[in-house]
Amino acid sequence: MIPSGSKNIKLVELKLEDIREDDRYSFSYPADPPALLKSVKKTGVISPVWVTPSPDEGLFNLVSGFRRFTAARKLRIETITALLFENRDQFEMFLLCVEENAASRAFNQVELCFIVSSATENFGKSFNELVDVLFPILGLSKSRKIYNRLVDLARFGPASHDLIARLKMQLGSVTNLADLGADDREAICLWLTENNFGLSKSVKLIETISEICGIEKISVNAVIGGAEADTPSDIDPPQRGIKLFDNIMNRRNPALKQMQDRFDSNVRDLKLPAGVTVIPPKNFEGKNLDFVIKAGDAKRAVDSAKAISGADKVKLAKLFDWI
Amino acid sequence: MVAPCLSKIIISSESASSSIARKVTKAWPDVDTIIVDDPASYDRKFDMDDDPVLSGKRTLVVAPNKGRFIRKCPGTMGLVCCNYYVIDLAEGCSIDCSYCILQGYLNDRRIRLATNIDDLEKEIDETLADTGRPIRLGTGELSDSLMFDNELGLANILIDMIRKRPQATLELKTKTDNIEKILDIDPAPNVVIGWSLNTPEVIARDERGSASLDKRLSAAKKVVDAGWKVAFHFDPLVIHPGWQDGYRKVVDGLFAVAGPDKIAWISMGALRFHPSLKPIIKSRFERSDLLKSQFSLCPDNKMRYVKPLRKELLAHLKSLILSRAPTVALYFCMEGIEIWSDVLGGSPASLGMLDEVFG
Ligand code: SF4
Repeated sequence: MIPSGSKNIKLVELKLEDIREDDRYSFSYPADPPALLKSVKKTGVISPVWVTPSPDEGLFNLVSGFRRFTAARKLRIETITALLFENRDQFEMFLLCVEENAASRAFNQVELCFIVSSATENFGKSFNELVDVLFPILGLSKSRKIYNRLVDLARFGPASHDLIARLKMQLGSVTNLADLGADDREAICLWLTENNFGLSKSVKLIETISEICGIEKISVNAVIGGAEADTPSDIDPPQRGIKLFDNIMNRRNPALKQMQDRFDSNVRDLKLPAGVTVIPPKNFEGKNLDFVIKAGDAKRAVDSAKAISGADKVKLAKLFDWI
Repeated sequence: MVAPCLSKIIISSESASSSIARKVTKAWPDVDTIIVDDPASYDRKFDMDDDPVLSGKRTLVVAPNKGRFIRKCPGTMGLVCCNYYVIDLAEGCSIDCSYCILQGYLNDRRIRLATNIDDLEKEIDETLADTGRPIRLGTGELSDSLMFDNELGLANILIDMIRKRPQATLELKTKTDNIEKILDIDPAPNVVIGWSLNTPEVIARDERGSASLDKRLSAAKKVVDAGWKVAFHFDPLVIHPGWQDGYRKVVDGLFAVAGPDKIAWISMGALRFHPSLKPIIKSRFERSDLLKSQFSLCPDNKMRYVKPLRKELLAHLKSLILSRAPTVALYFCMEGIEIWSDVLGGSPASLGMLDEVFG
């Protein structure tokens, strides 16, 4: 899209070798998605990339269209159509590039952090200078907390960025990662990626593991290592993932685990017929148990109910003994 | 004394000539003060600041309260209710507690002080007429009852209102030692000065800007010596390293300054917080031990210590207190009936000693 009414813009055909990537303007993440390569291979680069004149005579700086440019280079395309923006203030150009991208797609959190940190570090802009010009383009609330979080996020390593972008993690969920050291952060993100935990489990695990590290004063690797060692390796990945998750939750909250274990053992002691389950209140908060009878016919339902009412009263009473 | 550290005062033009507005400008002559038509249109959220919660605590809005002053303490479904009416004379607080629900109030983070205190007197009478029985009132729900008292002396106005109405009991609950002005007046038999107590560790880490334990206790001693009834609140009880011994020392300190006959009631409540407060506590109170224990989400959507820990905590405090004062009125705040039964041996209705509290 050519900005309407803009002056000093020319449509030009440039050799790829004459174009240098100006990293200050590069914020797309992931930087070269395979799908784009396929599409460029099929149809070529349709929309022009954006360039500005380079201080080096005859060369140009790429300021928008990094992914298309990378795809073209990989496909050994020799020339590319570009919009040449001349006599532009560099930060004004940066805002224009961000706006151009924002018009066509939603940024993920990693892209947001790259944009904000580039504006701060490469263009020397403070929060107060950015909040009225950049934040509205990004659809961000005018909040210093959000700004600080994004600047923090920019310092994360590749495994962390990958996880956050892939799972579309919200900025609030990233805070627990920010509290970890760089090595711990990368370790946990790699492990979550390897085990393919979804968004909600990953967020919960990050929070819980960082709490365990704080309480027990140990590293992320020690927590993960402990869970891995306790979990057999010869089970299916989804089942293993559940066991790893439970293992870490139990380590964080052993009292709840003890209550559950004692309750399960008391239920087993009752020897109720198959199809009868006893469900305690969530987290054992409350007084009532649910006795659930699953039966295919009335007779079996009645038999199960009789078995419950005829159960050993002392053992039955123990079910209610949670504390 | 706990001195509030205000950086801005916003006075609504309609209350600029009120006695409270005048007291405020006299108390803080050096603080940047503006008189405006609509205080609500000024920055209420402070999102542009590093710590919006703290910025809110530094800003005092003085304006009439357009709503009601008195509301029944909502309690929570399934929990035993202590039958309490809350007076919202001020909303917001100059103290900064890690567990405070006010940190999650996003619409207006400022401290708001009502100027139309005369309307409150009418509401007290209405409430007394509506209920037709004695009521218990308190001001320290969304605020600290005495946070500005050395400067403004508002407690004495309230005390005088209640003094004339023996069917009402007022509790002024505080974490300060701001009792200078209260000591200037005669004790009122139906007014209780209450202190929230905690161990010095919790106070230092989680109750920023409050008075130390020693200061709270020595203030309590002064009001007891002056003839006032006092109350104490172990709320929130926090599990932290050495908590058993820590709370034992606090209980010792309490009974050293107030004999059981001077104590109107003692309450206990284990730490509870809305889950959304967790990231706020983590980011604003790095030294806090608050989140380091084991919690579960309860049916009222609050995090509490898992039941065995909660019971241990409350039972420990109960035995510390009742071993020193077996007949003192002791109650739990925001706990379910099973905790009441397990730890105190019955519901408030079945525990005769609590009649005064639960009415
Ligand atoms: S004293 Fe009460 S109202 Fe004030 S910050 Fe602490 S908990 Fe909140």
